This record gives sequence, C-alpha cells and structure tokens, in this order.
Amino acid sequence: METLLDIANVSAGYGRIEVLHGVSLNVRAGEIVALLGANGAGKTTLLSTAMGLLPARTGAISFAETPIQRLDTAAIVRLGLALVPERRELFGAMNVEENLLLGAYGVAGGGPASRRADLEAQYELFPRLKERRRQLAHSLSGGEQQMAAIARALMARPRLLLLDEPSLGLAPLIIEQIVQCIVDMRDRGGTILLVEQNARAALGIADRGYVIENGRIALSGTASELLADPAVQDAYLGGQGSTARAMEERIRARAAYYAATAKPVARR
Amino acid sequence: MDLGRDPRAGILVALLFAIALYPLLLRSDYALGAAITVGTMAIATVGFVLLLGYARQLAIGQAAFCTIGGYGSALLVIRAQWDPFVAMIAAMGVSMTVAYLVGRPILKLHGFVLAMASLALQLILGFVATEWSELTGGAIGLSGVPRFAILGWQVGGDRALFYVVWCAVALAVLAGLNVDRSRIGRELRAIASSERAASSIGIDLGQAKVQMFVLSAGMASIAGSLTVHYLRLMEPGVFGFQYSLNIITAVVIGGLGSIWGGVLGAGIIIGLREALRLTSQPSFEGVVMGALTIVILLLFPRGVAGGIADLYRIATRRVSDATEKRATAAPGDAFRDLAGDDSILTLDRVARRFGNLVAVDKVGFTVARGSITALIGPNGAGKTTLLNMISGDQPLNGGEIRFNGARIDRLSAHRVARRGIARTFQNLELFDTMTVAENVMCGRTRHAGTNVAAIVARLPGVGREERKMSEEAERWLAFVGLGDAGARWPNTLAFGHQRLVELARSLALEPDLLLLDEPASGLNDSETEQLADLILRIRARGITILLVEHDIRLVMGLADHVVVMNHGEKIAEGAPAMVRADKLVLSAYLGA
Repeated sequence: METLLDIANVSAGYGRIEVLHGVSLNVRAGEIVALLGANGAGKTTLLSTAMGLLPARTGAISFAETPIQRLDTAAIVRLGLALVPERRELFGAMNVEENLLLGAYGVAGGGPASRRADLEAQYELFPRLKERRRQLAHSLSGGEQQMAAIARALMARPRLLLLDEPSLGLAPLIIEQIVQCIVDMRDRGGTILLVEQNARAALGIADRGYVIENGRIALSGTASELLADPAVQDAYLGGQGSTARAMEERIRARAAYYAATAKPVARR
Repeated sequence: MDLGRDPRAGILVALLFAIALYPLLLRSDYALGAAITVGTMAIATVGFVLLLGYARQLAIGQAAFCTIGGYGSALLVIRAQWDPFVAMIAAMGVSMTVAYLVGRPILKLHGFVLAMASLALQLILGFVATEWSELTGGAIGLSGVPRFAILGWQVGGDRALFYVVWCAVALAVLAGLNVDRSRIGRELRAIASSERAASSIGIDLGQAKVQMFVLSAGMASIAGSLTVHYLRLMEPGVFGFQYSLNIITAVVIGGLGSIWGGVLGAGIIIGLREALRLTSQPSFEGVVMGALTIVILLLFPRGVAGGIADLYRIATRRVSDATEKRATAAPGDAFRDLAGDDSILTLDRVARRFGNLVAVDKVGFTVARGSITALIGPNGAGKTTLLNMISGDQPLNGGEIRFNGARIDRLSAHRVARRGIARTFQNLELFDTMTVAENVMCGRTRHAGTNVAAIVARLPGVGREERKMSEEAERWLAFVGLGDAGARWPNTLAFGHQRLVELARSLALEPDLLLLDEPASGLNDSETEQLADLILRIRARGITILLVEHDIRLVMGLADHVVVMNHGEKIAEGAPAMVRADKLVLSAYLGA
C-alpha cells in the first residue's frame, strides 16, 4: 500500500518549550490510524506540525513522496491533507451549506457542477446535514457541528483526513454515529489519522495505532495488538480487563471514601 | 526592579536626565515650546492608551475633555481669579464628573457606534463653546490667560512651565503603570480577551470601562489646562477634531499595548510636525504624516513601543528554565459539613426561547447544598442554555432561579459571580493575553479590597494584595495539579490542561456553587478518574457542584442526584441507579 503521510524524527514546540522529541509515524492509503496519548503528550502538536501550522524543528515530513515540512498550510491542503480541529471552528454566522462550500475554497478544477456533486456526496454521508443545510452553524448541536466540520474538510477532497478528537463533548449515542461515519469514510476509500481520547472506540475501528507519551512514540502496532497490550489497558482503557462499569464503581468508591472521612465543620 | 542591574532602569535614568537637561541645552523658545506641546499631549495620550489600548474602548473624542480643561482653567483664572493650579484641579473634577455621567450610557455601545457617540460629545462641546459667546468669548475665545502658578508660586517663564508639564507627564505615566501592573490592569486585559469569561468571574465590565474613561478624561483635562497656560489663550479651535485625531495617531504609532507608547507617540507626532515646519513644508504635513504612519505600522505592527519591547526581548533572551516554580502546598482540604439537606439552588419553571425554538421549557429542580448534582441529556437538549441562565449569561423568558434563598434570575453575570457562583465553559474561555497564573489571579476579583484610586496611587496595601493574589493563584494551580504551569501561556497547554486552568480560575473565586460544563471532554480514562478525584476534593471543601457531562461513568459514579433533559424538557430526575433504569432516558440518551 502506498504510504501517504510519512513523519520521520520530527521535533516541534512552542517558544522555548519543546513538545515533540523526534516523533516518527506513517499512514498508508486506505487505513484508519489511531493516535493515542494523554493530555499534553503532543497529539495536537503533531497534527499542527503536519499541517504546517507549526514549524518542524528537526526531521522530515512527506506526503505522497513530496517533502512538505517547508510548505505553508494552504499548499499542504492543496496537496490533499485536511485537518478537522479539536474545537471544530465553524463559521458560526454562516449556514451549514456556506460552511461546506468554504471548504472547497482553492480546490483545483472545482467548477460549480463539481462543487455541487461534492456537496451532495457529503449530504449522502451525513443526511442530518442536508436537513440542516440552511441553519446557522452556531445553532447546531455538538454532534451536528462535528459532522459539519468533517464534511467541510472533505469538501477539499483530501487524500488524508486528520481528525482531532471528533468525540469531544458529544453524547454517547452521537459518538456512535460519528464513529460509524469514520468507518464509512474509510470504506469509501478515505484515509484517516484519528486522534482520540476515547481509546476504546478509536482502537475498535482503527487498523493500526500509535501511543505517544511525553512527545515520544512509546508504542505502535496493529489495533488488536494495542488493545491486548497491558500497558495500553492500564493507561488508556481504565485498567486490565476493565469495563465502563468498573471505572464507575471505582469513582463511586472514592466518593464514599470522601464522604466517610469528611469532618463536619461549621457551615458558612 | 533591581536598579543596579536591569538595563531598563538605566534607560529610565538616562531618559529623566535627558528631560531635565533639555531646556538647558536647547535654549531656543521654539525647541522649548515644542517640548511643552509634546508633554501636554503625552498626558492626554497616556490616558488614551488606558482607554483604547487596555479597556479597548474606541471613544475617540478625547479632545472634548481637553476642551473642558482648557475653558475651565481659563474661565476660573480670568473671571474668578482662582489660583491656576486649583483651577486645573477643579476643571479636572468637572471633566471626570462629565465623563462619569456620559460614560455610563455611551460605554454600553460598541466599536464604531461608540466612536461616533464620543465624537458627538466633542462636537456638542465645540458648538457650545462657539455659541455661548458671553461666557466663552465665542469664536474669538478668551485671551489674557495668565502664566501658570501653583498655590501662589508663580511659574515664571516657559522653562519653568516645561518642568511642571513634564512632572505632570511623569505622574501620568506612573499612574498608568500602576494600573498596568495591578489587578485592574489584568481585569482590563481579561475583558479585552473575553467579556463573557470576565463577567463570569465577577469582573464588572461596565465599571472597569467607566473607570478608565474617567481616568483618561482627567488626564486629557490636565493636558487641556496646561496647554491653555502655555498658549495664554483659549478658543474653540485649540482642541478641535484634529487634536483628537492627533491623539489617536500618536497612540497607534507609539504603541497601544504600553503606557510608554503614549509618550513616544506624542513625541513622534509633534516632532514630525515641527520638523516639517522647519523645512518650511507645512503644507505637506498631512501627506508626510499619513505616509509615515503607514511605514511605522508596517515596521512595528504593535507600535514603536511594541517594537522596542520585542527588540529588548530578543536582545536579552536567556536560556533559563521558565518553569522552575517551586511546588506550593495545595490549600488544606478544610472539610465542611456535607450532610446539609437544605437546597442551595432552586429552579422553578425556568424557560428560554430563541425565536420559535423552545430551548428550555419550564424546567424545575433543586440542588442540595453540598451535593454533586449532574445534568445530562443529548446534545442540544438545553443543558448549557440552562447553565447560562443560572450564571446570568442569558435572560429567562419565564420562571425563577433562587440561590441561597434569594432571586438571582435578573442579575447580570458579574453579580451572580460575586454572590458565589463560579462556572467553567464547554469551549474554554481563557484569557490568551496573560499567563496561566495571571488567569487564575483574575478569579480573585471578588475578594479584592483595593479600589481604583488606591491602585492609581499605588498605596501600600496594593502591593500586599498583589502578592496575596499571586500566592492564592499558585495554591489553586497546585490544587488542580498544575503547580508548575503558572508562567506558561494558556494556548501552549494541551486542551485538557487548559480545562484545569479554567477550573483553578473558578475555584479562586472560592464559590459556594460551581457549575462545570463538560469538564471531562478531551480527557482520557485515567485523566477522567483523576478529574473525579479532583471534583470530590472540591466538594469536600464545601463547594456544591452542578455538573453537565456526557461521560456516563463519571456522572453515575460521582452524582448524588441526576437530572435528565431532552428537547428542552426535564424527562427524569433521581438517584443515579433510578435514572439509569428509566426507559425514557435509555431511548433518548444512553442507548440500549
């Protein structure tokens, strides 16, 4: 399979603070690759560096064999890389369709007819957006906003989509829908690099995954290897053999402990 | 500031020497006059930096207050034979009173509308000055203004006036710097960064803006009075629209972000004008000034003062460790009575509509004191809208909200915060223009005891309060587990850590009730468990928590009471186990 994104030994950071220390990672065409890690590990920084939003201080980044670490973001988008940022960043005062059309900005050879076709393709993937096409972006619910952000990115016809925490702030039922959409995109030939805190959901649909810790790749492998890895289970899946119920029980036990040890003092 | 080592102290001393020696070295009346003009304008521009640069209020009719100062001084001195210094102070009082009365209504306006309103004030004053000729001498004005004097001490000659003016500049700069490095300076930057977050931590937006408007009006008035004593006359044209324009140009060129920018800008503007006059090209003044403004702004987008600050930072860049903060002890977990069974918050038939859409439909529930109450439901169910109504961010269309027994549903956000309700935001509202520690310090506004006058004069208590605020901020950062992040900028932290900064900022209010809007979003499982522990430690301090959250494990594990909303309506409430078994909740939210 063709390697689309190849990140080799990249360091990057903000001011004097270096966040990434020699990270290497690759994504092949047709894959879903999950990137896992704690807050502050450098996941978003890695995506920003790939998109040219932040300079790589060392190392090389190439996309479909083209070196891109010196290119600006607009040029990288034209090559076929698109990012859906953590906070979605829709244009709130515009309606859904206008937001989507702006995603097609700068797409080569995009006449009105092909733009219309792209738009219909997104509506097919996200029927909910078609219902809401005339609604202002800021009045959408969280899940609809996430769908609109993904659809807008797809309007640029990316060969690789970088998704930063698509489940952020979404209700359980909606997360399932978004996860299904990501699988649908891959089944239609898309390639996705998925940053996600919900490690169980991410590894459930990914082909491969990387674990980043303190700015370094600590582990990598197929999704099933990572799911079975004791270290991954401890750090990201709530302990070995853990379930959602077990975590809830642990939290409840802590609450009971605090309640039992609380020393009554005078109320204000 | 260590006077021996800091190069900035050297620059300051050199500057003071240069000013002191200026009239002795350049003996021409012309040079002296130019320097007095720079000085008087600098007093006005320093005030304008506070208003435009810090409070971000585009009230551009500053010359209106110069006009009041000018006429006030001229009339009181000529007609009533007042001492010029006393007259100047009296005129300043009038200007500040007018600014206060006018400021309350017009500072509610924003952007260009505010600009037009403030300009209208200037035009009205100019019109009155011209038409009320028996008082002001009409278009001819008032001549025969005597030389300046301070309580009987005659300021004989322009050289003496030069020193008086520059002493006034020094006082204005000092006042400006005192505001800059105080809680008010931080609060102004907070307002400029996010008005919503600023009011959520108890900062009174209206008051902060009016304070700067009044302060800048006072400074403009002094500039007006001193100018009149230099010119020895006052007429409507002295402080016309052109003067307002010069003040604006000066602060933009000099640098809006710094008090020094005001002084520099005044020097550049007047210096350029005089240089053009010397080369007998006054007719090109407008063209050259315009072109130079553009060139300077292209070279230094943050003005000359901003450019100098950048150069200084580059020149003194040290490779030191920015995060060598000592670990500070977290505030001791003072346990409070958690067994209280009375309610801290009561919602009764609360409703909110957006056009035809009913976002919240007659929702009522109570939050028990000392409890963790969770509010859950699908995206778009109205949970955040409800939080916004409790925190005073959005008005109600019906119903009422009581906090500690008193109605709060008509209070503005900063009043609600001051009563003791703090909140965090789903999409984070941190102040990006200040460090993490300063963000948290802003949360202490509710407990600040110093007023604006004390801060301008930097009375001894102000420094003490600053240090105490700083210590408090460090303690709360340590409490949430970010003890080493105080010196960093919020936008360099990971999303989940930014959430913790926001939490520390809300905790710094020491609220009775804390509203958390999806605190676990962006956290992985182990971080979510740490958050659960943090929430329990917050509750152990006697703070009641109302939690909006999608992570059902966190909700079910933590909450004493769960309220479920769907399509703006409350569909269930009760103990976690009860809610989990509810068929309606399962189909609307949890899924099978």
